[in-house]
Amino acid sequence: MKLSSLIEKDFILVNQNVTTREEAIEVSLNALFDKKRLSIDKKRLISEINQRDELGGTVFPTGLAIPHARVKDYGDLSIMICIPEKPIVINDIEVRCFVIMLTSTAVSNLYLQVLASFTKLSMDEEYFSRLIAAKNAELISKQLAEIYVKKDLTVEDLMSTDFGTVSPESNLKELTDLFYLKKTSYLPVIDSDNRFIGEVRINDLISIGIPNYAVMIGNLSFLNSFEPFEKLMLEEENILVSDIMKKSQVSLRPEASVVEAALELTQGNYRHLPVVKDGNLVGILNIMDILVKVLRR
Amino acid sequence: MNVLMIAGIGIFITCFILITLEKINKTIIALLGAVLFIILGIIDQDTAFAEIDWNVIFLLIGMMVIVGITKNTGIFQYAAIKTAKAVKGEPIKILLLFAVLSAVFSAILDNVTTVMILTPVIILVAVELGLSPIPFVISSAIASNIGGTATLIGDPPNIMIGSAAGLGFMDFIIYLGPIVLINFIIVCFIIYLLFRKKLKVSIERRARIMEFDEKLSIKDPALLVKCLIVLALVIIGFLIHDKIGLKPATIALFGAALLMLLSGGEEVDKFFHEVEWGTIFFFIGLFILVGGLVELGVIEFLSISLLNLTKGDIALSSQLIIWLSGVMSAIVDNIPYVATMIPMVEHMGETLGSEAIQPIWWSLALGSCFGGNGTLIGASANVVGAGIAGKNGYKISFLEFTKYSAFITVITLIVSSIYVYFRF
Repeated sequence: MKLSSLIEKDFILVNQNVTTREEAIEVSLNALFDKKRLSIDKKRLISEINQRDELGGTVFPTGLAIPHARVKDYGDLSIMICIPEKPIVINDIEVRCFVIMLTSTAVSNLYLQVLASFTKLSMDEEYFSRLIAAKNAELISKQLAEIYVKKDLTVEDLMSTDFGTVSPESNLKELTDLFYLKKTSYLPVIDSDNRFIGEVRINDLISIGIPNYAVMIGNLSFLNSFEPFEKLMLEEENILVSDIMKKSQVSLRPEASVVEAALELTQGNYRHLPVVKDGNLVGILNIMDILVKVLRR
Repeated sequence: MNVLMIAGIGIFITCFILITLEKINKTIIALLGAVLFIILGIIDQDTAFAEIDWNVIFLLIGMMVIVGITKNTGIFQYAAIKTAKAVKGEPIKILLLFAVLSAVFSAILDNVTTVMILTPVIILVAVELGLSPIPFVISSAIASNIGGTATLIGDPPNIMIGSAAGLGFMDFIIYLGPIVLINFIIVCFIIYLLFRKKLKVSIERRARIMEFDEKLSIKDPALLVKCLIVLALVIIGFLIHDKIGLKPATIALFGAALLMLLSGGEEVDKFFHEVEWGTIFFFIGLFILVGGLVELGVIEFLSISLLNLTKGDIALSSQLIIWLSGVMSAIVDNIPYVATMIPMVEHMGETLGSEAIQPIWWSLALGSCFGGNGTLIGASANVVGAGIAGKNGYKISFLEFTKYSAFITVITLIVSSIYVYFRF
């Protein structure tokens, strides 16, 4: 559905003379309370929004802030847009547009999709500038009509497309550095023709440090003086990624549902899974994405 | 010979070759062959199922459960490390004592399990000593095949022979114990001569072994006590099973049930995961295949041929069986070999009297168990031991293993020949 059909024109406030985040939230909620009869106290809404903001992640570098809250028994999805006359600086970011969202506590796909749509549209700088430069609510609504919101949340909405990759010819020293620099525990292996040929997890790297016979003994508590990473340290330049990489056993389709992704991640005890379309790697889903982008959004 | 007979022998020999080549899983081959026998009408289903020696099957299952629970307590690692420390990390003593441990454990556990438990610890100790683990791994595998010969439960061929011939646990100890002991002492001496020069280590290396704290390998002392009690009960049960009129399978199942009860029997499936179902069904398939050969009259034909060859002379037959079994077991899997030989010997017993053929049973056991040492592929314990070493970067080639083991096998078979000749 069109993003515009989810936002009432009365809730689009342009050229607002507000100078703080609090004021922006205040005027937006005022608009809401003018229009709707709510059994919920305004103060409670503000406190819920503030609580969520304390967790962080509601202000985006693109200049968009999305103060939002999941309120018990809210029973609706309300979206208010507030565009200040001048940008308001929050955490060193010049916020040019506030989108205030309220919904009930139950996880709703639509709510998450709207959030995703706004973050996405703010990344398109040209579109975003045009949107906030609009003179009135009518024009903004018209522009928002160009954005379609998918009803179901899919892996594509959660995955990250900006991920590190490693070549099969890299040695373990380079691999260790890459894990360290990218602060990840998963790297897809991409060959020179840009094909996704395998994956390495940090477990694969670290287990090189434990000899096979030690793995077979199972319980190594009796060893006091054993130096586990001897082999890894000595041979990190001789062992190649292609020696330790594994063929990807489980991958996700971009259009796979969140529940499918959650099932694969938890059943296989994975922290990351590749997202593959037509044999090409298009993204990586981290189990943290489910926490950050579904459970605590 | 009719068409059915040719088809039956064809299927049987094909199965035998495929099992030996190990390209396809042997359990699948045995089951497929067995089912083909039934489909072709060589043996009907009721007869086929009646051919399965349930005493063997349940003895195996019972022991697998008991051993499976016990091995997780860390007691075997404890024993190995304790041993290495007891001789202050001196390599030649460790080498010999690890052979002793392998032989003793194999008398109670099956050989493959023994090797699977001990080889990783053996490699660890050798690596910490700065020595090549290869002599240790080879000695342990050979010793386990020898030790396993001493008891009814030590090696699958013995389980099958004991069940078919009605020989008890004590019979094996009385009749095979002495020869196994003699052979083992000889083997230890050979190992000593072969490897002693290769085993020189520094004091510092030996100190590393002394640093191990074997007590920490026991994860659950309470469970260990339960396991040891049940194991002791089971061994006592085996020792007296003839006197109290029980078969070994009953003793093993009793032990398994008791240990499952004691170690918290809620999740019974967990314990049954310890059973190697592949091996169990391999036996089931083999029993049916061999049953089919009996139905076809092939076994009868072979046994009559053998009797004609030896003119019914027990001593001569025994010698023939020792060497035939020794050579066959070195080349093919000794389990299907023994499964095939059993009805043959049974048939000979019908002619010569079941008491009279006892030496032949012992010869079959000695030949097939010791023969396993003939080559790297002669016994599963060898394959598993070399496999674990290979995975750790210490490749043991067929020739490397065989050059030591074949020599040892010939010696042990000669000594067994002499023993059987004078004893019976």
